[in-house]
Amino acid sequence: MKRKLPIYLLVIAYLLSLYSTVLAMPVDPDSPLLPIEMRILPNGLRVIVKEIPSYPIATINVWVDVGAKDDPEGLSGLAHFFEHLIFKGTPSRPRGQMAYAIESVGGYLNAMTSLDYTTYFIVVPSEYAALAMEVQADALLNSLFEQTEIDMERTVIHEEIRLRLDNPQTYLVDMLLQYLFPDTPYARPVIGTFEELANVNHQEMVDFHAAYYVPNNMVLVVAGNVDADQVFAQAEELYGGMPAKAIPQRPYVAVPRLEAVTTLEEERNVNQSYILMGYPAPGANDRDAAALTMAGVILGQGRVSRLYKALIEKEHLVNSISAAYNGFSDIGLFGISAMLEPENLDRVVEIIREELVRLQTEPVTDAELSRAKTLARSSLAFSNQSSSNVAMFLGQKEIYGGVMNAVNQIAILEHITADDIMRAAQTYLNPDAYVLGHLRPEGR
Amino acid sequence: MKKHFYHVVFVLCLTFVLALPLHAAAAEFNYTADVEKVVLDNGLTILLKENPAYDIIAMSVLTKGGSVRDPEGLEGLTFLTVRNLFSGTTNRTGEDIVVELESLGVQLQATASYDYSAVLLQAVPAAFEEALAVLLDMIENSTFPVEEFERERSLGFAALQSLYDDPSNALILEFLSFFYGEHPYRYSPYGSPEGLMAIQPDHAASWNRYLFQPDQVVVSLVGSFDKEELLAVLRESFGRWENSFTGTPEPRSEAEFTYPAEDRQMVFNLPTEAAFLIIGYPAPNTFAADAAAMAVINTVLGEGMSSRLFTEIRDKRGLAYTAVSIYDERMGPSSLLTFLATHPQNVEQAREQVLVEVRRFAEEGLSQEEIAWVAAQKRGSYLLNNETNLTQSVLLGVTELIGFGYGWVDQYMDFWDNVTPEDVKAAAQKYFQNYTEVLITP
Repeated sequence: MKRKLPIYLLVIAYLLSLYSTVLAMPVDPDSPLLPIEMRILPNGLRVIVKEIPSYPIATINVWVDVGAKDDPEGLSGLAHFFEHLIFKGTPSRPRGQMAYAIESVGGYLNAMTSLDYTTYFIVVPSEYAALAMEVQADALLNSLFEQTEIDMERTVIHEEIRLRLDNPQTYLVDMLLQYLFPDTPYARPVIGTFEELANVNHQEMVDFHAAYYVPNNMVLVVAGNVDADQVFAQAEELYGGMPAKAIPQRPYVAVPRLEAVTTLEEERNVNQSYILMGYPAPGANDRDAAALTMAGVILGQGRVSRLYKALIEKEHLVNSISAAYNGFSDIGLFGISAMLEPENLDRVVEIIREELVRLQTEPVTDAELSRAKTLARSSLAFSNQSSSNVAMFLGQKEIYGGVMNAVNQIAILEHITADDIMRAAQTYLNPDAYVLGHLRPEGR
Repeated sequence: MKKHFYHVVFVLCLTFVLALPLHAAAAEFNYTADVEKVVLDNGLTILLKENPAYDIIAMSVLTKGGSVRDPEGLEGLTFLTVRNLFSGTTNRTGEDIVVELESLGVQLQATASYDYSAVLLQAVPAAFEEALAVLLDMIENSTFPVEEFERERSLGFAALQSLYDDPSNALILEFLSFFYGEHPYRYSPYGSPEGLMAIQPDHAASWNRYLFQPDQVVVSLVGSFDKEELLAVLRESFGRWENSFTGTPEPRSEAEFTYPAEDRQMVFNLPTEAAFLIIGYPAPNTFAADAAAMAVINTVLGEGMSSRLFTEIRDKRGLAYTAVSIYDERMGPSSLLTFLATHPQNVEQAREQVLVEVRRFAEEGLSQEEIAWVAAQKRGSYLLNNETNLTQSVLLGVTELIGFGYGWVDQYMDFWDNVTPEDVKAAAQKYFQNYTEVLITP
């Protein structure tokens, strides 16, 4: 689908006309993220700038709306593999020279692939922001994907897979995905499998780049001690020549409905049990996402959360507990994780079930809701001191439906009521239908 | 080969052109120009730096009491003491403390490190004074109630155990234990299982007085405040502290450490997928004249994607996902360690490559140009690492605490300029004689 968008549209006008309609709420004038500027190049590249003049560093952060959920059938891990190759060489910069250029000025570069998106970031002293933008654009536009580099990097990814297998927490997450999101593109691990990585070659990389690394599928965020006009001008210079292209269609993914409890249990060389209980949840842009975020805080974040009090203070059945919502584009995950002695598992699951039922049947108290909102506010305020945090937050929200969701984050959470939380819990936190992953100490 | 050379020349020219500063913001940035230092009558030091950029006040209460001073047999005492600051006071229950702090939107954490400990607070200005009152109550009036103490002990014990469930963490813990032998640095700040079990609430109550002896404490604040107004509050709050430590339990005195003149190896066979390898060497401590040279070596060896370990082991050979070095610089005996995770079949090749790269420093040293590259890199990364009010308050406070003086924070920007190729070679030859290796492999 092609959208015709005006050149260099001033952000506020753009946001008010589009996003406020979507959100049905005004722009939060008190947002600590304001002011920001956003322009859209004729080819569809969205450029967001947050000037932070108080400290001399800058973060250059490109988001591409492609992730593991877009991995072709039989090529699980392709999006992540691609991300590994992006700094492996261009015609003007052989392998290693991009990192060298950035590290020479004290900066660093890195990248991350998730189920939904891939993001590339460079953080530098701000006088080198132009250099960082140029290096990043060179990597994203001109990477060679040489077969020798692909073969070399494949072995590196094999080692990364082994590291994930050896860490009990990452192992649990990967173990649960296929049971939480069966028959969806979210069921496959981001990192891929040994078998399917073997099928990736130069042509797959070139095709993937051509399909998804197109300006209308990308967002450039720059945050820090920069001049917005200079950033927009350089963005035009670097990316303006990229042609817009139709992006492969993606089917909408509905939130899976689980019918029963699925228990996955493995013995492992660990000192205590690790559990993760997963509940399929709505996407990041759904109104219930904010309600579930609040539910996570009330249920399992901090020493006065319900599960902490019940499972640690009252009965001391677990050694750690947390609950949190994670949103993706179409669907999400509400997860409850704990470390415990294996003999306590049944009682722990029983108490978690009781707390979920309580969340579904009784409104949370004013004090609990107020606490959750205060924590969200302060957490955002503290996080905003870092240009990389700001860039990441703005970029992720833009990918997930609009940067105004970042600006309005606090206002969105402030609007959540106890009824919203109860309704979201009733809809998504079924005490009798979830996936339980359990890594149990050997012989216990 | 020739083509590659031209590529490099072109890239370096391009880098140079693009790297010309548009303005000199970073070079001009100064962390300490507006810092005010006040030493109270009781010996407690206060540092204040106004930063109106964010509506946040960050405060670090730093004490010279680190886990290395944990009494013999009570390893983990500093950790358990600061952890139990949240358990209750004569005025507040543990729940009161948490509820009050959270309702103020305050972040407060207490941590134990090897050479010092810290209570770190972030608050919006409107909430700061109330948060300060809670924090002072926690330090001055903690009661270390038995039930909460037992719970925190149990949680701490479990946290220590859980570190061993991840082979990367287990490797580091085993390395420290092996490398340091009988020196107390062998324990993590969590302590030892035996030490944690031996600690009683009375020990913690007394140790709390040890940790917060006013002349051993630096309080460092950066944020949105008026210096004079805040100083009056701080004088009143911290000025009443007195030294009430009785001397019991006895802090561990400075321990001797002699690094053995031989290579040492230890292997743990565990059911892992990857093999995890640390090769470590002794290294200069924070105060040593050759600490800067060792930091330069570490950057070239294993910091970042253009380091030698990354390029030689990961980029060129695909042997590992993680290939880094860490200069574990402490106030006492220190180490430089290389860490990598690789396929079990590749351990020999990876090990040999690490040893080759380390030997290069002793044999070839580094050129002045390479050292200059590191200096530029260090200046930039220093800026990147000290962006927030909290990190700046810790940075200023720690340099003051360890005796460098907070002014060193800006001098550090030029710390590397005086390192010479001879310094690098001499440091490598002095320290890279014998290594300690720990391997976890299936």
